[in-house]
Amino acid sequence: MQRKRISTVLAVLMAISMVITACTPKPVVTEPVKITIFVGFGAGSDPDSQEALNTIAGEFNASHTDLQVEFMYSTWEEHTTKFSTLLAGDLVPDLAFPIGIQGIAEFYDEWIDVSPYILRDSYDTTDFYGPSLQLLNFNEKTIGLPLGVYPSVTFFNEDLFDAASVAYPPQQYGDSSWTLQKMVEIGQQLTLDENGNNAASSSFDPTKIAQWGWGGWCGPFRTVPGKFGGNPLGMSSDFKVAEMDSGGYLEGMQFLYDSIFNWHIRPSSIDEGSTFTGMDFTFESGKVAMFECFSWASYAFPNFTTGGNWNVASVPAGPYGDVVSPVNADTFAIPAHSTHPDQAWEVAKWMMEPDMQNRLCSIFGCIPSRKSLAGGWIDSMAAEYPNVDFQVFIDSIDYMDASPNNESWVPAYSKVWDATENAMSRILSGESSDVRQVMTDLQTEVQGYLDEYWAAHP
Amino acid sequence: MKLFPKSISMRKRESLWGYLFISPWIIGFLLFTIGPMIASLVFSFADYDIISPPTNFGLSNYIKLFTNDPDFWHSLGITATYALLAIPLNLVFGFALAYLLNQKVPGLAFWRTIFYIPSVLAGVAVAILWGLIFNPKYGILNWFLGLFGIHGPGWLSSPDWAVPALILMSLWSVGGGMIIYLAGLQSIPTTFYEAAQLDGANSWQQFFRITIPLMSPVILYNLIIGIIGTFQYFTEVYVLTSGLTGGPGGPAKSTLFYNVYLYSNAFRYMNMGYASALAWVLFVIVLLLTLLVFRSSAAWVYYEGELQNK
Repeated sequence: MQRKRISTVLAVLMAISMVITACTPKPVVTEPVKITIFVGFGAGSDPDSQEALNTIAGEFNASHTDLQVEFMYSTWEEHTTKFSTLLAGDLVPDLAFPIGIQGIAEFYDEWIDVSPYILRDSYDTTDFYGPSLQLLNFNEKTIGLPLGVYPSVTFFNEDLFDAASVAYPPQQYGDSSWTLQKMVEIGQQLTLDENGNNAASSSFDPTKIAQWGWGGWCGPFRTVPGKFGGNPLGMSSDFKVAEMDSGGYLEGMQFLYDSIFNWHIRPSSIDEGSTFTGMDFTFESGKVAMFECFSWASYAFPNFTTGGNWNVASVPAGPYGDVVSPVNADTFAIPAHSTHPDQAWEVAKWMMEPDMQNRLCSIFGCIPSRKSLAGGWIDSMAAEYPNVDFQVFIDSIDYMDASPNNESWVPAYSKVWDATENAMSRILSGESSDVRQVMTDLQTEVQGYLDEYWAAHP
Repeated sequence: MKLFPKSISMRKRESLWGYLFISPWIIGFLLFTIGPMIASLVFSFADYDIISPPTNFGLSNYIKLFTNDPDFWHSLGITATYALLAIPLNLVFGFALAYLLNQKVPGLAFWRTIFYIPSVLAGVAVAILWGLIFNPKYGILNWFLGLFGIHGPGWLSSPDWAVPALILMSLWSVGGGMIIYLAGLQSIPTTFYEAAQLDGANSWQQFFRITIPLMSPVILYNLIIGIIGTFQYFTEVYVLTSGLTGGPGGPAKSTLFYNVYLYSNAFRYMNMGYASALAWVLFVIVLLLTLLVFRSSAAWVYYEGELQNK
């Protein structure tokens, strides 16, 4: 009996103590918000970049108590599958970074407009290159701020020019003599067969080409029509009517065909698959005198050097005087279903600070999009390649295809993209010599995609 | 510890134990095969982009597929062409190799191993290896053709030669069929041949009257496996053509196999509903072809048991 009474008292005391404990105010301990950053829409997924980004994450986490960041990596090949699976599984990352215009276009409806944040914080954008800001405006929606840009320039092999006694292409913009026509002309002088005859000579043998004058444009076909006065997107401004069987699309494709099969200055895709095997760019071989490419080709600069002394020149003007330097860009984007958009914006701002921008661009290979950082970028590149005029890259930014960009959104984005690339493949491989028919087929195919899209999105 | 009470009969207990042992497979089959199959059947009747829930249920995917999608017919045509050429080639080469390796030749075990090893290598590794073999300038294939004065083509970069190149590559895995043929050949009793020799049958007669009929069940098996395999063809062509201008299925859609097109719809164009419809049409095609072959087998496959029962 006595024992039972003691037990009862103990039980009551324990209950009271538990109630008191539960009601006592506790010191507020707020967990830091974790911002997950998806890497895979562009650069940043290779092992070296991952290591560098993880170091940056460590520094951020050590200096912040309220926010923590974690990078989530995907290869470029898997980025669409992985990112869409995350969205479908409600495991939405808070940031996509770095991401290019193509990545934004692929998931166009999934990003928020950051312009309210820019306005709220009176974010100073005056230091950014003007056109680079336009890159990220889509139908009155601003997706991000430009971290870095990748303008295109003409790369040329000085040794091959010297051997043929041909003057180098101009390195300053504004030289009206530097046109695609001129490029073809000197390209023929620099294209040699196995007997040393150039492509302008009557004894030239096009079946035994040993050196090409031009390696083509390294980008997708959408980088081409703008040079011929066309719209890179190949459709009307309301995106309802395809315009690919005429204008810049037709002329651009005809130029590609002629460069291979009539002027013989450019290797076909079959030549590329044989003579230049194992190379990302034909220019690495030392058997190609010129080619136009984005500055992200910088990862291959050591291979360019193996091919000979090289330098860069401005982009030639098209037949209607259009000087277009196709550009790619790196930015950030905040997914619409992120649970921490405000904090994601704060992390993005931190990454856009000049020092961090410099550091991140050195990882991804981009040119920082702040004008004030241009000098530092040129110095760092020139330290490695003292003979190359890196100012040309900076000058090219003024000629970028900012709006619309060659990667800008169109309806049925990937289908239209693949159809266009397939049309170019038919020409580059020689599968068809009827350029007009190829473009008519493309027009029909793309119009079908547009009709289908608008039927589903009235 | 007894898992089942003693009140259950021994027979039932044994059955329960049996089910228990195979339950991991059954659970896996239901969750990871039957479940996704049912889900894909449902998705095939809807617009589904993976990110948003399926909408617009109906037959529109199937109607579009048969009436308004040239790429569907194009990809089906490429796959059928490949199947029509690759399957007979693999059947003949596999059988021929097995027949040769069933003879009394020196180093038999070595040759069997050599011919079988390629079939156990992973698809991606094989694709990369053949990418090098097909290289027009430095590849061993064009080097070999060059010995006979033949200027080899750009195998994978030429729209005309890409599919023939893949058919040639399919012979790489002929060892898998060969090993099954070899087992079949070795199970034929030698008494049949001895009796035939006593009756004066020559080698050809023995081959066509004894070997082929007795091997016909094995040929049937390899034929069905071949049909299923070729209609599922994906990895090698995807790896070999991903880097080409025009993407997977290039150049100029010349290698747009059915599964490459299906994959593009599912994971590139985000049309999972349409891709599901493509998958189910493929399932029906393979099922019908398999049934057709099974039906035809009564006319050309020799079953010893059936003969004995007659």
